Parts: sequence; structure tokens; C-alpha cells
Amino acid sequence: MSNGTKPSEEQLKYASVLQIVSLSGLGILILGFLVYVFGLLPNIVPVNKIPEYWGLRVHEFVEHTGMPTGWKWVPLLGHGDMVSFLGIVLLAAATVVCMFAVLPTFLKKKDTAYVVIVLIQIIVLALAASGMIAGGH
Amino acid sequence: MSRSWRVFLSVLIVVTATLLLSDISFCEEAKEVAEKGSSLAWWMWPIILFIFTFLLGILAVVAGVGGGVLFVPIVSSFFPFNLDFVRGAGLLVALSGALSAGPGLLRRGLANLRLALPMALIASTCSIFGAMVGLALPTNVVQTALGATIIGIVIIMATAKRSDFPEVKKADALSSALKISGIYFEESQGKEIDWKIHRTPLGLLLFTLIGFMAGMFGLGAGWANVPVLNLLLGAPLKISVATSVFLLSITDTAAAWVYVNKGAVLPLIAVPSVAGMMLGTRIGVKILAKAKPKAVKWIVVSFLFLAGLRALLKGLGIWG
Repeated sequence: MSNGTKPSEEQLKYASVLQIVSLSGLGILILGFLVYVFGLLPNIVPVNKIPEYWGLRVHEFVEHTGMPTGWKWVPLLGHGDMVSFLGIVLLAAATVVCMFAVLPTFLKKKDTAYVVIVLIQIIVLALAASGMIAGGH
Repeated sequence: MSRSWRVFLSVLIVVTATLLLSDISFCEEAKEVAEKGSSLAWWMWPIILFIFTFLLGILAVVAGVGGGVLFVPIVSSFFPFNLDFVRGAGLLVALSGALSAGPGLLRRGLANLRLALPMALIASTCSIFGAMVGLALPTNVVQTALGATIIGIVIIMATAKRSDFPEVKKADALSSALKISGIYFEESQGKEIDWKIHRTPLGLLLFTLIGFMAGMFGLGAGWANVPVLNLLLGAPLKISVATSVFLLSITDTAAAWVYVNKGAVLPLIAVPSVAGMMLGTRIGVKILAKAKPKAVKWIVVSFLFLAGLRALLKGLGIWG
């Protein structure tokens, strides 16, 4: 790869961090799921009961099962269904981790436009993740 | 294409077509589940879903159609899950694929970070609003809109031209200010290709709509990203396809958080789907390396059209 075609420093950094976080997320997703379906930990909603409720809309599902929403799953991490949730959350968090990783490079290069873009992106993702922005019922 | 692959693909297509065209959906099972409990053991569902999405993953790659766009209409047609959970799983399927492919595409210089970030900011913000609207609207309205959207996507797939190296005479002011341009090595020509883009403001405007739809329906948005990046902005096709995949990892993340926080991502549905799709796409890539069956694309696009039509008619209360 010549110098002209070599990806930028921030692009390579983004790629490295993304690889680590996404692979970890996928690994934990699969492991957590096995813990969940094999009943290695107690579940909040028994796994055999889920098919009775998955035809309902999500707000009805939550009402009937008492499944935690937002970040209320964190204190319940000793349960199999919450462990299986951990991998999903890690995958959803991968992008914001990468954004934090490339921000110093843009700052070092005094690339103001991209510093602003990355900062706004972090705020948008943080708001979405916080649960402060939520639709539905 | 070798005879064995031909036979395999034919069987795959026939099975999928049979399921789609006849009404042997698992929806009957859903009614039974609601009324008197399922005759199927609970553990059968993730296995069935895994096998189904594995086959879907193969077809998606061989047909050159995004797995995310196939997942929502087809799984919502066949399986007893509420559309809320199918969309949540659909976003996770598209997100996982994009996250897995992203590092390689960025390292090879095919996905471009400077091109992706401004578009992703707009698309991801709008995808949050799309997800909020999608979860707030009645299911039949979302189903009808999904059906109409899928039919629109099929029309785009059938009619949109692609250009390997679009001509961009002069970069526009915004893309120049953001220094969005690049050089990549084009193996087919054995030389380095310089590229730049134009019409950036219009592109950003279109990404508001793309993001909104991705969030609302839980679809991957490659079907829209690629034409905008390639035909409108003028990025070379390879850069457009790779950047589109990378873009999905950001757009779908934002919408996925809304679904996750509302409880609309069920591991029992999402995890077998992610695993099945990822394994299926890997096998699909191997099949694709041996053959490029053009006919398969049109058969799969026809399935997609039927799934869209079914969703539309289901939403309107005419079918199912």
C-alpha cells in the first residue's frame, strides 16, 4: 500500500478499537446466550415462558413479564437473561467507544470540523443509550 | 457454477419460495401459543430461527442483497414474534454484520471515515426518531408502511444503475472544507484511483430520510446508502459499498439503543438470528467465490417483493 492509499491514522485507530470491542461483544453475546438457555443462572422470566409473550407489543410484554427496561438490568446481572443482554449492550456501545478513541487524534491534528462532528455524535449516542430519548408507550 | 452448488441453491430457493408462497407460516403456531400453549418446545424456536437465518444469510450474499433488509419482512411473515421484536432483532443483525466487516474495510482503505462520519451523524440522529415513531405507532400502520417501503426498495434495486467510477468534475465547497476525498488501489485496473465527491448538502439531506427509515423499520440501509454515495455524491462504487457497510454500524447503533432501552431486543430471538446470519453470510461468501449466479439475485428480489406485498396486505388487514 503506497503512502497515498494508506488509511489515515484515525481511520486505523478506529478499525483497531472496533475490532476489539465488536469481537468481545460477539463473544460475550454467544456465551451469555448459552448461560441463559442452559439455565446456568436463574432467569427473571423463565425462558420457556417467553414464547407465550413474544407475540405481544413490547410495552405489553414488559407489563406481563416485569422484564426491566432502560438500565434497570444492571443490578440484576446475576440472572441468566440479563447476562445474555450484556453482549447486546456491548455491541450497541462499540461505536461510542470508537468515537472516544479517535477524538484525541482529531484534536492533535487540530481538525476542528471533525472534532465537532465526533463530539456531537458521542452526545447523540449517549442520549440514545441513556434512555432519556425513548418512544413508544 | 458446479452442479452441486446449483442443486444446493435450487433446493434453498424452492424451500424459501414454498414457505413464502404457501401460508405455512409459524403464525398459526403463534395463535396456538396464545390460546393453549405451544406444541413446540421452547428450545425448538431458537434452533428453527438459527437455521432459517442461516439460509437467509447465504441467499443474501449470493443475491447481493443486504441481510438486514431481508430479515425484517421475511421473519415477520414467517414467525410468531411481534413486529417490535423482529425490528429490534433486525437492527442487531444489521449492526453485528456491519461491526464485523467494519475493521477490515477501514484498514483496506475501502470504507472512508471522513466520508462516513458527517453522513452517519445525520443518519444516526434521524434513526433515533425513526425508532421512537416506529415503537409508538400501531403495529398495522408500521406493517403497512414497512410493506410499502419494501416494495419501494425492490423498485430501487431493480432500476438503480451503478457506476464504478462516477465523474466528479469539481468537489463541492462543503466536501472540500471537510477534506472528503481519497485514493485507493483498484485491483481490476492495477492502478490508484483518486476520488472526490460533490452535492454533499443534498446527500446529507437524503441521509435524514435513510436514517429515519432504518430506525423505524429496523432495516439495514445499504439499499439506500449505496445509490446516494455512488450516484449522487459520486464516490466510486467500491468506496460507496464499503462506506455504506461501515455507516450502518453507526446508524443502526443509535436506533438499537432505543429498542434496547424499551425492552424490544429479546435475546431468544436476536442471538440465534445474529449467529445464523453471520454464519450464513460466511458460507455465502464461499459460494459467491465459486460462482456469481445472477438469476439468484432476481429470485431473491422477487421474494422480497412478495414479503413486502404480504406485509402491506397484512397491515391493511387484507391478508393474514
